[in-house]
Amino acid sequence: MRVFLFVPCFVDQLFPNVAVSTLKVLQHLGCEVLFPGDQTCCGQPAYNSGYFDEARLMAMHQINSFMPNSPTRNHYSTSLGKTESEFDLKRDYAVGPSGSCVAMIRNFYPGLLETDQRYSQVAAEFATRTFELTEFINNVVGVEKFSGKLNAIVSFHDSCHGLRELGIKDGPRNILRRIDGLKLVELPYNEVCCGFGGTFSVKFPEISVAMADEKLKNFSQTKADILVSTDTSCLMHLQGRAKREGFNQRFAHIAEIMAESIS
Amino acid sequence: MTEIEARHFKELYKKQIVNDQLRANLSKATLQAVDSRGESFKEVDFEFLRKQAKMIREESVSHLNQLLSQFEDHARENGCKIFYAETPEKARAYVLDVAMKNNVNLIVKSKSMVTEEIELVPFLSGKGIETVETDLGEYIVQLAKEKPSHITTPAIHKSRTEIAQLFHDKIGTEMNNDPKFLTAEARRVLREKFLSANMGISGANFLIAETGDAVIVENEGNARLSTSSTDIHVVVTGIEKVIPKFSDLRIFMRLLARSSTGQKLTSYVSVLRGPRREEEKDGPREVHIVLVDNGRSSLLGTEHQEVLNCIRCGACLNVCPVYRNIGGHAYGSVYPGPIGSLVTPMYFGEKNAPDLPFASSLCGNCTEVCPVGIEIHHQLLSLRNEIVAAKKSRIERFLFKNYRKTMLRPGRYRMMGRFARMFSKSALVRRMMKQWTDYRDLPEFPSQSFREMYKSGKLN
Amino acid sequence: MEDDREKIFAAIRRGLRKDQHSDTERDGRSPLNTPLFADFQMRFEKFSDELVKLGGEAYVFSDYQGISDFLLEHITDDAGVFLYDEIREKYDRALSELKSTRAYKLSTDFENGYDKRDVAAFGSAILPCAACIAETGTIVLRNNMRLPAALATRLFVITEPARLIASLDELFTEKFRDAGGSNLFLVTGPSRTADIEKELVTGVHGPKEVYVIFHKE
Repeated sequence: MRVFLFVPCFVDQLFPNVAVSTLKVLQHLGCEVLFPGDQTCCGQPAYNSGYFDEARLMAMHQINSFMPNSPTRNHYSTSLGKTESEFDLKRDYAVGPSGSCVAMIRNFYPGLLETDQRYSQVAAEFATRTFELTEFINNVVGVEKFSGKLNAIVSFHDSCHGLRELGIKDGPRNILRRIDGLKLVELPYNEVCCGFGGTFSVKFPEISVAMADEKLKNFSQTKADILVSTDTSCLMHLQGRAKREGFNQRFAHIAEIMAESIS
Repeated sequence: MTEIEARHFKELYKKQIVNDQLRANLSKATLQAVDSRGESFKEVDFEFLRKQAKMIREESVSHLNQLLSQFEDHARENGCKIFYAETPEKARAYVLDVAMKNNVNLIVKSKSMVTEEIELVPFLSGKGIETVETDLGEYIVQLAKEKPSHITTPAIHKSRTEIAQLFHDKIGTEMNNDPKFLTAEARRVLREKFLSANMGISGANFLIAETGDAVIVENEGNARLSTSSTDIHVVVTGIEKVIPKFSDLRIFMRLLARSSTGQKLTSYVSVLRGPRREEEKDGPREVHIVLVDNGRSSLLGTEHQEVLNCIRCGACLNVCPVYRNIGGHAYGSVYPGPIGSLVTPMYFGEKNAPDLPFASSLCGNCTEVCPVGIEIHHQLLSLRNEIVAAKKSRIERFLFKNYRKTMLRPGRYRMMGRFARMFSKSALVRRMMKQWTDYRDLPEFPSQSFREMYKSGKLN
Repeated sequence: MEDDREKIFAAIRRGLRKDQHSDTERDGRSPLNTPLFADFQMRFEKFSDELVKLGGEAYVFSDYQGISDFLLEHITDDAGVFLYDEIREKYDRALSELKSTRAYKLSTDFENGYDKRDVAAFGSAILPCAACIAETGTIVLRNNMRLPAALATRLFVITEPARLIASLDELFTEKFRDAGGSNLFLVTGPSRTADIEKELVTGVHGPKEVYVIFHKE
């Protein structure tokens, strides 16, 4: 099974360990993993801020970076000297460690590009081949192929985009339950947003952190050591607030927990 | 365009969010509503109901002309008078006219969001006609000279102690913060108003095209009294409220109360078919139905048309974590919360609410609970796009232009990333990130990005 | 005053010019997860469960004496009883004791209209109903006086088992649509509010107590 890693820009730049862990987990599960080096940002920040034109260009770029030989490739992709492996829409999978960024590709690319003759078909097909990591493991690889061992008490934070755009609910929990020694304690009100919301977090920081504080209060109630999620963005926000407020729990992406449990 | 407070959202919410009492009141009330909502849907198939409701509302809105004329024909046959008002001014003038012609001096009024929207009560009171809100929550808000902060629970922002103080000051009751006592006092005062009033005003939750019925859903009994205890009853509602069939109520009645308060059905549902008949001994002798447009028709045929499907249940407010932290008044509009962030710019103009569509983390909980399947958070996104296209914040434009340039050129992206990580501890970067760093710590920036690690080959 | 009908209709026409989908088929299935109640006993249990949860009460009596005792036991004040005439006709044998000990008025006493203060004075109202709904514990009223049921402190409904329908699906049908009259009132439990800190308080503007009696012959 051939997997092309989709590494969201801020994971790439700020949380490389999440991407490294994803790579490791996928390889451990027997996938051949490639990383298309020209990918940058999926365009979600622009899209969510209302800059649809900018987001559209980025969506095109994202697709191009996975399909460097495709005729749709645009002139911006200057660094494409040598031909990398081409993503095969019939056969390959794009897998990324973020519900939010995957939702951008899966749910919004087709709409953004539907009027563009060159891209509409590709975007629609690419959308169906793109998976969030835990989704991929549950729905494509088979969760029974995974097992690990790690002594920890963790709580799980459902990211809104994972939960509501992609319908990810039991998948990550199924994975965590396959880790020996790991105890999962559910968070009260686990479907309430943590307050990150992309640019929302800096446009309305007071509201954003008020929401984080609620989440952190609920997390503290669980007495768990680690808050695990499918989305690094939520975790960055919660961890940043937690540190500021003097909490000392750990915040970890589920890929990191999985990688630790198999090492 | 009339200016509304929603323009100043950024100042308004900052005042509300520091109010811990308010946030505690809201948190308690909304989470309770969320829990009972969940409980109440166990007996029925929510997705089935929602699908049906969405379909019926879509049909209603997309056949609005046809259904309105059907409704109006039947309502006239039932003896009602119909009045269409394009603007708030026109609607207010008509209601005043009805009141003047009948020498009305006291009006009892039940809850209606449209009357809030057109500011009917202050208008009538200004003309010397005492107009009393009779829904307990609305009455509290009216006594406090405030505006409702929630679509279905108007005084949700107030604690019992605040209400006790208010009643003590305004209607001279003893200081007792027991809700039972306070409710009984309100009943006593308002009962007298019902018995003295000579006109009643209500809204309508649904208008039924095939029968000309106005359907009103409520819990206290004040709407029954407002619609039935005076000689003149005026319904003020929006043109979009019409649904095709009486039998469609089997869907909406099961959704509305559950979504709103977690009840299977509200205490009272009045299906009103015009003035009293000859054989009837009470009920109004005159029924007027005022159908207000106020911007609604302009949404037809646009991608926002589905917003007209809304049945004003308030479920999206209850689940919204933003609403829960800032309360309804912060929105500066009669329609707060997620649906308010759509309706306010749509009815009152985007210039009046430039920030509201952005005041959402796009968590999508609103969309998840909407009983008529409005994609609320996706609607917010498309409004954002319209606002950005119309009003260009120069700084933001500049930032997004550069962001685009960077993200479309992998080489530039790599370089910018490296710089940002290298200088992450510098005062300049921290300053640029002020909106983040004033409230939260930044993560430790790694020395190498993933792609650098990957390229160096040490991952394989 | 001239209204804006034509302007609004023109605006609607302009907006709806784009292709819009046509009439949709309704799906007539019941949304209830558990289908409801073939016989009276099962319906009554559900009805009673729902009503009791809301603070009301439901009873089945097979004799007039039972109804009579029940009413005397529950109407203890002197505020007076409003008696709907149809009830008097059907259940006079159950009402004789009540009538001899409590002040009452019949709906027929208001033949020529009335002042709402007269009705507001009653402590209790005894009414017939068009139907009761098991699914929600609802009483369906379609009488020629609206106010007694809205103003009394205690609401009594006396009816027969055949009036108890299973669900809202049976209510929102042609039968009730075309039944005539200016209004249909659904009453589900006592008048209530949760406007103060979401704490439930009953008896806001309408009845605080609601009793439904099925007379099983």
